[in-house]
Amino acid sequence: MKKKIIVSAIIMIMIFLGIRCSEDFLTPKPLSFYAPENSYIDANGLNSALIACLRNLRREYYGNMSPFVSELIFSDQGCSGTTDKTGVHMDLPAQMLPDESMIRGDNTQLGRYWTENGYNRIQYANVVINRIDNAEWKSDEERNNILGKAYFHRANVYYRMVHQYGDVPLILEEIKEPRLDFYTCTRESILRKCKKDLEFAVQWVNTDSPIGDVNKAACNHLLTKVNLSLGEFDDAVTSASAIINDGIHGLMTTRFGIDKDDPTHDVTWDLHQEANKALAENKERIFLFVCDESLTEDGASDRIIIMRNALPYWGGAGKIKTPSGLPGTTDQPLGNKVGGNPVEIDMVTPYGRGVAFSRPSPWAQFELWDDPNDQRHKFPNWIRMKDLVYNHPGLKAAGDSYYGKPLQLRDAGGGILCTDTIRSWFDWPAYKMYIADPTNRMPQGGNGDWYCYRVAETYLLRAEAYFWKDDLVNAAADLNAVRERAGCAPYTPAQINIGTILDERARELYYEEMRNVELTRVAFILAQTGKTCYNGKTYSLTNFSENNFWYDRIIEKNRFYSENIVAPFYTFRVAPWIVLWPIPADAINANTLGHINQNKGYPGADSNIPPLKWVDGPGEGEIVQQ
Amino acid sequence: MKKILLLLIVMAGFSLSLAAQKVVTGKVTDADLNPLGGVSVLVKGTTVGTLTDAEGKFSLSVPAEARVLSFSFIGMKSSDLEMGNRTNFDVVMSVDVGLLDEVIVIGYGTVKKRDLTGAVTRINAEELQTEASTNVTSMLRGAIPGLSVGFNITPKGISNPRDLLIRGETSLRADDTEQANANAPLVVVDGMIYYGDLADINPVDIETFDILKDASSAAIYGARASNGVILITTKKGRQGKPIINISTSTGMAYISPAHFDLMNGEQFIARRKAGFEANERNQVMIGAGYYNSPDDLPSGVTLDQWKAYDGSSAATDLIGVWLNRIGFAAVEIDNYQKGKETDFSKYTWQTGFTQDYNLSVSGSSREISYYLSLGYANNEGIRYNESFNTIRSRLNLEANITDWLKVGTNTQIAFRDESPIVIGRSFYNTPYSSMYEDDGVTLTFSPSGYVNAPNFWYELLYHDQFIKYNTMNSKIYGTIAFPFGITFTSEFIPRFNWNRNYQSWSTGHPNWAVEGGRAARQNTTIFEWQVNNMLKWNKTFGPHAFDVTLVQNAEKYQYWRDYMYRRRFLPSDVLGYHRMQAGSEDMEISSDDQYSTGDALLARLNYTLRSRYNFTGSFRRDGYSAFGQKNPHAYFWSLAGGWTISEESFFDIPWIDQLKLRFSYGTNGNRGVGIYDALSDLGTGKYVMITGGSPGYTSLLYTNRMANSSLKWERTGAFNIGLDFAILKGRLSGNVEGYYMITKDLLIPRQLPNITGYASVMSNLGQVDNKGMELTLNSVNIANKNFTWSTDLSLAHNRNKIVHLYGDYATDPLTGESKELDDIINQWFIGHAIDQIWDYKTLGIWQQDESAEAAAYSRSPGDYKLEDLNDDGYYTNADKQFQGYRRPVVRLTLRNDFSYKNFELSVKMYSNLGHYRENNYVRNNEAFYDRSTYYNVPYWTPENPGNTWARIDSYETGFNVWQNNSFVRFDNISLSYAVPQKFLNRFKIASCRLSVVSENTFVIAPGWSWMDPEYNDYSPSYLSFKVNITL
Repeated sequence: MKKKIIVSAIIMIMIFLGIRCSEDFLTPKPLSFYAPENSYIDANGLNSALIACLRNLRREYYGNMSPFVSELIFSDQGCSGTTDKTGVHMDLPAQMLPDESMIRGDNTQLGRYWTENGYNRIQYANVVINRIDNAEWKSDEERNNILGKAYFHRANVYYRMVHQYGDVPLILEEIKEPRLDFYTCTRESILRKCKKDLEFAVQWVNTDSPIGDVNKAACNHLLTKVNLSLGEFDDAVTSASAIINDGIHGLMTTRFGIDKDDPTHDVTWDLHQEANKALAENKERIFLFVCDESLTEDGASDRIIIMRNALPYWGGAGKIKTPSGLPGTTDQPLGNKVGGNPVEIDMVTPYGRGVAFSRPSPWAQFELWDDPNDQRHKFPNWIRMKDLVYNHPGLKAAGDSYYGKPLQLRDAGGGILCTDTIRSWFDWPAYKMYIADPTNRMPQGGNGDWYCYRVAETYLLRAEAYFWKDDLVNAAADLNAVRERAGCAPYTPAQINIGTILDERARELYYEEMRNVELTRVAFILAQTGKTCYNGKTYSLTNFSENNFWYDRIIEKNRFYSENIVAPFYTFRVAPWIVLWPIPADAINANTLGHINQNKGYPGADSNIPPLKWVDGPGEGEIVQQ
Repeated sequence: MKKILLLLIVMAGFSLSLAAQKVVTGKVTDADLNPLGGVSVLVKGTTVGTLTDAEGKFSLSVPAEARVLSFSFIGMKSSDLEMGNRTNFDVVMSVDVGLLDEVIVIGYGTVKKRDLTGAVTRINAEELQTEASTNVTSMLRGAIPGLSVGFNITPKGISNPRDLLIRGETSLRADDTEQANANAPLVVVDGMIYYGDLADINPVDIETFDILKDASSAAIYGARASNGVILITTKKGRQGKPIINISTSTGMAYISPAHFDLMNGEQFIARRKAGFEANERNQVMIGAGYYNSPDDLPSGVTLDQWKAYDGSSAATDLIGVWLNRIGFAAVEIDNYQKGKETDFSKYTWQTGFTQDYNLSVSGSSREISYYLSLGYANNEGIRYNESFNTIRSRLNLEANITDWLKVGTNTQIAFRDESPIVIGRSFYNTPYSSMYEDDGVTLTFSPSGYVNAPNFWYELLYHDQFIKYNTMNSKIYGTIAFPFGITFTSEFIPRFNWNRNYQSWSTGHPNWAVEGGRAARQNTTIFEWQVNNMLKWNKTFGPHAFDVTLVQNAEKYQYWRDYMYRRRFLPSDVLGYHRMQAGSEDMEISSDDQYSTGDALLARLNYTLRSRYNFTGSFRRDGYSAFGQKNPHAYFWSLAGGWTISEESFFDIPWIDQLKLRFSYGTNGNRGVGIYDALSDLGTGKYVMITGGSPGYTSLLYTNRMANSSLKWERTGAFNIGLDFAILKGRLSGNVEGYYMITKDLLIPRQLPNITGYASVMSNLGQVDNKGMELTLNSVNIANKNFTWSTDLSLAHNRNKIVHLYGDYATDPLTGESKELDDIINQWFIGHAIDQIWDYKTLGIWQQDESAEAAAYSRSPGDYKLEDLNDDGYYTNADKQFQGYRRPVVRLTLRNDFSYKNFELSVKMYSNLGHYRENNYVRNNEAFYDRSTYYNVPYWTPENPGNTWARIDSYETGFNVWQNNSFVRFDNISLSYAVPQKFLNRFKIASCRLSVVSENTFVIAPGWSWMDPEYNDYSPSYLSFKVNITL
């Protein structure tokens, strides 16, 4: 008995001791993810944070219903063409409300400009700016190149946001602890901070960064826009000239690239062919998004899906009929059966399948074009609906005489043959909008390159700076450089005004410039300077939400909004205050210990308080009461 | 049931002799000597028996060799009497007060029911045997007040504890799934904390469930127990000869009555037309009857006018013109003109065949007890091709090596196959679509002609899926008995889970062909172990009984996942996922490994004085690596007392048989966070740049999560008061529980302004209070010779309230009072319930004569009308109102058992009452009107207005339609028949029971205008036939 007790006690004690936990038994062990402490410690780690900024920036333009679509919808140039569902932005005063979710699948992704593409990107950039001196550097150049790129990203977001949302909170440091005490900061002082940061960037960021990364010219390009926004037009001329005169960049005026020996094309075509954008000889490229069909791992490339986003829904079943009353088109590729008959005329492979999340205004398709020699508006660069043919295989089977003939909008009696002219009937610049999509049976836009900044815009920005300076001769010279490259006759200096500059931007930069942001920037400049606009009006900041150029321009040019076109579900409407989008209620509501202002015109603006402002100082400067 | 079974087992092997007989007589009374009528008197081991008359008397002719007489009566304790040579018996039966000597499992130990101090509910699985289905959770549904079990729609069944909820929600999460995870009860199987899949537990192996609802009983599991504990005990070998049990169940799963049919051709065309007319306003303005058939033009419209509406003047095929206007594709027009309609239900749904076979062998001797089982289940579901396949096996073995050493194992091994691809419904398959080409066997690429909707059976043809799980949960233990009532037990509990998830998408599918074949292969392994060392002391000194438990526990969890996903298979993809090296392009190559650890120390004392005063106290220290940076450990404790009043000498109420009062308080924790939620993690990815002329990868990093190194346990302190009673000689018994739970330091994703770059950060903040009551009543309504009827009723009510959130205060501009701020984004409001609805109030539908008013809100007649509280012309947060609750106010279950001779009928219903649920289907925009079909449900038109169903594709953004979701469900109706013993004896069969079971028979939900009130789509009902044979 005694022996048994002793043996048992020994066994017990051994077991207890055997599994006694070592001191670090409960220490968490992350095995498969990186931590900030061991990653943001050198050039490579910090640069990786900036690559994340690039990815978010690229996603403004890429993907199904990209946020970029909103930049066209809220402008003179386009509107929503999605007629088959509710929830898309058409009746803007009714739909642009602070509580509405602005991230909703195929309806809109506008809200990502605030989150993923906005403050998330600012946070990634602030991580680099805050930790810049915690890392080991080989040289000042190495450090300042990284810091300069971080400043570029932050300035790029704020430049965009102050023109979409107006006054917004300015965050200049990495947030590591819960904070709910933010305040709105003035647009003007945010732009000042951007200018200061970009001036550092243009001094230090490499001129020869890898293609796809931020370089010195990109910083100068953005700085030019910031200078214009601040009304500092001489500085804008200087920063734009720094690109134009750098010996590296210039307009492409001669044929180049894969099709250069093909006489049916021209330099406008060459400039926008996927294969040509990244070529060393392409001097017009400033800043490019690079995607590659063979490099798609782990989100490395994104599909641009631009045809789906912005081409007409020309293949929609029964949308387009022949004058004999039969379904006319199909967006099925060669050999696929439609109603039992195989497709013989393949239109989807050369053009792509569109569903018209954005569709151009009539002005952008027709009135805008003032020169018959304009390469940008000529076949095959520009595709008109009548360049497509009736390809529905059912027509052939029925022996219909229209099979293979060009599409027509009306029959001989004037009867309309397209049941949805908003979504399924408009023209488009195919030279630019076709991005091959080899992994998709019906191409919608694959992993291809896209210009973020291009020298043609630099010229147009400098033309604008000269215009504001009343130097119409130089303004005309810069604008004509772009015009003449496209085969157009030049304008005389007397013809130059902000309207003709905006027209030229529309012709040259469709789906490249952020049309809504640029219109708003011009609206602010007109309000800041009090200059008389070509429409005879003058504007002021005091009643900006009631009377502004952004609204007047849309009403002047975009018949959808001016004539209140009736679409299924909605009637198109716009209002002056929509020049600035509503600050998302989520941000306001969660910020319980501070106060974020709402823009005038929206519910909630009555509790606004005077915004803070940024003032220069040591480090990142200070945010103070006005 | 149990008694009959026992009887039959004992009877097995006996052969009846009709030789010598003798007559015995007697009288049966209760303790107060009142005669008892209807008492069953049976010669033990035979079917020879009778019932007592109204005066309690009986007379029975018995075989000469008969030795024992059994007396049984509902509500009384059964008793056996040795007959000896006596022929006259006066028997006194005592009240059976809820099986007071039953042993209840309480976690790291057991206690007699009479000594319980906490709120513990026991269910004997055997009582649920006839109605049992192939999954554990269906047995629990509606079986216990305060335990709610999610509605089951798959053949696998509810298999995750997150679909179970004990009492109310104590935790707050922004995401619904995380919310359910954080409130999931702890499951313990045979003393092992069970993290496996509940579908791996074979229901036939289960002996009992014990549900620990209050904090004191759950406190033994401290850190994870704040959501209650479900203890499952599996079967052991029973003393006696080996028993072989064979059971089979075959049946069918069919679509429950609570569903809508798809539209037929005529209904479809009417809806199409209404859809176009309601939405294509330009066309409607062009001319009257634009969407009318040419045979049905409005008066005043000529055919030529009608044709000219869309340039069809030259058209000859007028039906084609019309059908084109209402969105028909070429194939649909063709089928319409041929009069060919297809009901796609038959390609979407099926009547599933279900089968379940189980075999077990068990027995026990002095040295060894064993229970070995093997089961196979193959259940088809109601969705086409849906099925669930499992083989489950269990070995429970215990050997007494010496009188002081005992070793054993409880080992469960399961194989699960979840490969079959389920065909979901597709509204693109309109009644005029073609499933097959003209040859009748080749699937069409696009049945409706809508190219974005390839044939939904292409998935079956071209997508190959292989998903298998092999799991093992085991406990290996040894127990040493020391003198003085001390025992020491050491347990090692390993768990393995191997999962293979392989997929290939073949080039046969036109949409995938362009990628040259795609395949993915994922292997996941989980290995986890727990170690428990338990020291126990159990001793009685006179009126004092002590039971002391000390436990030391440690656990480690490890997870490994590898994933490869490639495309462009060369030379071809015919080998699919079997040959990944044939892929020439990587889509994803990734791995994810995880690791966590935990430990615990605990002590518990159970003390009973004079078997009427019970006391329990416990203390526990827990450690968990997720909180390992600053707060690795936390401490929890509990105190509880019980007083059996009816045992007191002063207690003298004759009609009350038992009365016991219980009170407890305890604290528990919740560690329901991700293993790494306290750490900042960096998201990674790749990006493309061109350096030196060639594109290549570069890496990207971004911060995903804000770190919180001081994260710690969520704590719940809970009071429970309970009253157990049995009255009227056990005819009516039950209990009442009331509780109040206070949860603090909530593990809460604290909402941040999104301008920080983060949506939220995991924090310990806030307070949620839960209160509720539960009532259980068991009543024996009728107990006659051939007929008995008993009823079990339970009722549970729970309500919670958010008391604090983040501790941010602001002064109310109106009242000047300082008020804690709500979290509007997550819709958490101080002073309101987690599940309280805060939304716009719907006021029915805008009618034709209100079109101007509706237009002010950009709505049209037929759209839902919302209340604009402040009349500012916008719908903003200021217009949202507190409405009802999403969780039921009351949950009721009612079970009636009838038995007549060899037949037993049980009917189980449950009901959730007083709650609301979104029914956004009434907005009528689930399916595109211009390219798909839909269920045959009503819709608003100017001619057929209504106030519930909106027009087709009505305005849908930004609001919900809330409907009363109260319902009564007939959940389980089972009829069983015990084959007479005389017949079975010929085959040496101990017992044989046949039963027919109907599950989810039907449901009544008067305020709900959609399909199943607990599910938004077609739900299954089951009808099965079971045979259970014991040898």
